[in-house]
Amino acid sequence: MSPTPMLQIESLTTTFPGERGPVPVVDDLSLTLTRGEVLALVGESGCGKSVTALSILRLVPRPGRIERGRVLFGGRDLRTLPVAQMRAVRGAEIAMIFQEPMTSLNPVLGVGAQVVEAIALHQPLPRQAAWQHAQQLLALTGIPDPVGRMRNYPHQLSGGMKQRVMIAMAIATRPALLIADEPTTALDVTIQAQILELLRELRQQLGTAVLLITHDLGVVNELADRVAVMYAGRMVELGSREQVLSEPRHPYTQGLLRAMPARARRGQRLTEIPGVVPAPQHWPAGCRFATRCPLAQALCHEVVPATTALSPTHEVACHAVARADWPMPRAGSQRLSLPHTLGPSGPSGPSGPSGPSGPSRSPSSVQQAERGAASDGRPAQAGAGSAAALGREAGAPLLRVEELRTWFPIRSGTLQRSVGWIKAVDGVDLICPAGRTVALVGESGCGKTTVGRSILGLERARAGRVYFDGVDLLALSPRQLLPYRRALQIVFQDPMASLDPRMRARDIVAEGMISFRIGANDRERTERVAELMRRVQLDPDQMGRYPHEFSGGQRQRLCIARALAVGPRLLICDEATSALDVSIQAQILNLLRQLQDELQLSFLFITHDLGVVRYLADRIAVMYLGQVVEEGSTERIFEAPQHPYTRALLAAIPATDPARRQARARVRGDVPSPARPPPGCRFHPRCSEAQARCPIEQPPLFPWADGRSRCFLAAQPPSGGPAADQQARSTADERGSAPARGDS
Amino acid sequence: MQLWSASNLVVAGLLLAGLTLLLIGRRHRLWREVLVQLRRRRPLALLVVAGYVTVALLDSVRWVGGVDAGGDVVAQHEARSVLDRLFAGRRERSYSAPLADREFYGHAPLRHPGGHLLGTDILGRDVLLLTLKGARVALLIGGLTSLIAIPLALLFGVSAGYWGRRIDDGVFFVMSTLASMPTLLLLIALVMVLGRSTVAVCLALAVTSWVGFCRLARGETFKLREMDYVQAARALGVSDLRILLRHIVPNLMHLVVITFVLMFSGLVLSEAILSWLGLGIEGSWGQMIDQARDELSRDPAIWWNLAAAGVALFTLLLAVNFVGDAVRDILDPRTRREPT
Repeated sequence: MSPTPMLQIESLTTTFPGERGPVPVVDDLSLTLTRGEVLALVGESGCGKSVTALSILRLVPRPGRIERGRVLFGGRDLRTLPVAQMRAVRGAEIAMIFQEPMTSLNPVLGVGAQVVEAIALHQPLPRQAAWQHAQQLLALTGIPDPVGRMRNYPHQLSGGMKQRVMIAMAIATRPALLIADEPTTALDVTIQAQILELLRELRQQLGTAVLLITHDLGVVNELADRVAVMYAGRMVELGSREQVLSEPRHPYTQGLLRAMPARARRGQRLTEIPGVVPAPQHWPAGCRFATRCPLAQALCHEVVPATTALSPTHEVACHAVARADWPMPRAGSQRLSLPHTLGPSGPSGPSGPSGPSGPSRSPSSVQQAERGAASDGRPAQAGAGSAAALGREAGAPLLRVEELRTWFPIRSGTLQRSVGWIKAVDGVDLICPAGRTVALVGESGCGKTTVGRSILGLERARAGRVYFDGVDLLALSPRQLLPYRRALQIVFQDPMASLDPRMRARDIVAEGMISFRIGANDRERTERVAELMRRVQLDPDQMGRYPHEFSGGQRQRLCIARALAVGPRLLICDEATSALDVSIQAQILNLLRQLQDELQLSFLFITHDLGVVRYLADRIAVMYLGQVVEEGSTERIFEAPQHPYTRALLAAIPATDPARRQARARVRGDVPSPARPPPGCRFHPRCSEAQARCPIEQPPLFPWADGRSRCFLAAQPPSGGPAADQQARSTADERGSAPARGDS
Repeated sequence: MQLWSASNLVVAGLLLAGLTLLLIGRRHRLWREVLVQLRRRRPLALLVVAGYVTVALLDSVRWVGGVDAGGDVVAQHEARSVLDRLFAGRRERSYSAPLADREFYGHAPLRHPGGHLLGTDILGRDVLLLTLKGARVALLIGGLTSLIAIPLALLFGVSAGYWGRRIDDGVFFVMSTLASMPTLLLLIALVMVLGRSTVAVCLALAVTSWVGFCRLARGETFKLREMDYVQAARALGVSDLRILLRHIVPNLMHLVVITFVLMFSGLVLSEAILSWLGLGIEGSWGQMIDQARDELSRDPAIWWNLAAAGVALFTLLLAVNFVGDAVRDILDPRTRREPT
């Protein structure tokens, strides 16, 4: 790698117009990138990383504009290039791939045509030669049957394949720099592993430098050489991968790493970063992280910290790091946000008393009553996790799902006859004990969301039984089901879409109360709303606001409050934290655990994020194509997974420990369509251990260890055999020593 | 003073409806924002529309008696509005050109030389007065028709979209049937059946124009039905009716406003065509334009009727279209800048 930087960004400032003048969404950013290296630009939503990428290519959408700075690429300042020359740079020398493969390809043009277009823009080739070249590119990116794919349309391709096509288009001209804006965020974990492997290979083969923009520190660990952390438009830390991930020095980076559930101990509170990211209109003077920083002093609120070089490769922008005599906070104390810094209203307002040491509120009478009703002698908060985990009673099964099937008809023809079925859920068994968390895990399209909705009656199940307190909910009429609705509630993924934008917070939370006639009159209901808001750590004075005036995390709390309003016993969390930033996710996960302790709630946690699952769940059920393929306690599944799919899933998770880079794509290909599931065992076409009888016979759920597994290998003599032991050991080795857990 | 005539009641009803909407709208941030943005983007168009509304209001309430009609015995016993009284006693005998001293044919001296800004028509009535009175008719057409058509379309569209299946098939069938018929012919047929009163014509116009919005409402309801907050409401045991009234319809309101403003011009123009066929509402601009057919073929041509009605019609519709486009831009969820 040549030491001379290929890309040099100096003091880049990009502004967008705001109510009180232009807002610097990217503020005085300086970076260098040398040939062939991968630099990751990390930050949460709104930190300006995507705008940085667009600024390099001069593609900032109006009314934003690049105010100051230089972008030197190969010696030339891209900002001063005439437009025609800039166009020649884009695509040929600097290429970009985007986050959403679904919408990045033109749906009315064939795949081949689009790749050829990308080639032809910069290399005048005769048609035949261009077509061949395109085919070679597709093969290079690992698309099976590239010749056939050339004639396909984008909608005939899966998400992973579309992303490969995008990458093929991007590398068509062997660009020196590839900017990847969240390239794997929209993809499943196994596909993500494949794409990361592809990017690694391409970088090796072609020597392309990559500017990787992401919020996922696991992806950063897998791919990056150097890491730059951004917060509110400014860069706060820059260093090598090992330096930033193992020894972060900026309080924000430290907080981010500590907030990740994958790095946390089971049973312990996640370390939150208090407060929320301030909105651009309300950025404070001085250090923008000061309002949330445990080390903040008066200086931080007034003076912007300069960059301190801790080593030739590691620099941090923080006053505390620069000065040796910085007062350290007392152990356990945390700073709450200062009132003067943020606007009078809007999402940047202090979100109530949400300090990481827990809300300082006096327990209301209702709370006392509820605590009294629950089993006594337990602490209200999960301190040293194990005590609480053991203290939770292994309740009788609250919910028992048997043989659940939900099929969607495929209608076709003038009379709209059903010509086939999408077997979204095809024989699912689940048990949710009282007061525990069961996680339903799987990739997109496996049917886990449909399971949740079928249990609640939001989708019509075709067959099966859902026993709640001994009563089969599916056999009830809508009227008979109504009283049971109180006990089963749901929190959705998208906090934006979950709240009616035309209703005030108070009305939203009170909606369920009105339909179940909880609270005799308006005043009582309002009181209860206030109490619920306090319980989810929201300020009750904000109950007159509309959803858009809350931040994402606050909206999700509102959804939780709405669900709690009717007194449920089981809460289905359908990807409830997937759309939230890591630091906000930590707050919500802590809240959920607290609620579980206080109210003896059970959770059915539907998610694809195995890090969260490991932290939160007691039992895991893994789904694939509408069926449960493995089930067991969390520890057992992570330590010794039996089913090949589970093993592949776990192997694909990127680790955040820089000592281990191990996301391996152990499964090839894409998930088959649920309308035409493979015969026999549904996983057999992608399974590395398929045997002769797998395509013929569908395996039932065999008992295995403390759960079950749907694999013929599980029917063989269990873990006593040497082969199985070897498997289990090698899996554990690959993941390295599992992080210490609370002793449960 | 005979105040309680049918037309007065209709007008009063419309005014009340308008005021109620205004009061409800003021409480919601969204509509306040819309008004502020409108004032900023299209102040002139807004002013023009406001002017027309004022004129229409002046012509709205009619009563008998009061100001002397200047020798016009017939007018004395008619119900006359404020506008009529402003122009009282300015009748001539026949045509006169704008601001002329003499009659158009015969050149006899006028009773009020130079007093007619836009001339007079065949009956000697001041054309300016007639034009101003046309504003009321136009706004009545737009307002009353929309008041019938939009709730009808909402009802059908939302039912079809929310419950789907059979209800959707039924509504879709009716919609498609209506949409396949030639609108004009259907309109003519309805007017001939229902009569030529204002309400009848508005009813006929409503029947032929609800389909477009119904389709829109149905499509939007399909989308809204799948939103998480509707699912959450179902999980909370909220009844279907309450969901429709609380969640679906309020989230369609922006479409209603846009549709209303943009439908307006189409309706007024449709009525003009009806007038041209002799089936329109008494006193509308369309009728004035229809009368101009004969008058233009005379020699020398009488053009001021046509010009006045034409310009008035054109200006109102232009202003309404500007306002409508601006409202659509403001309410478009993609361009709506809501803080996240």
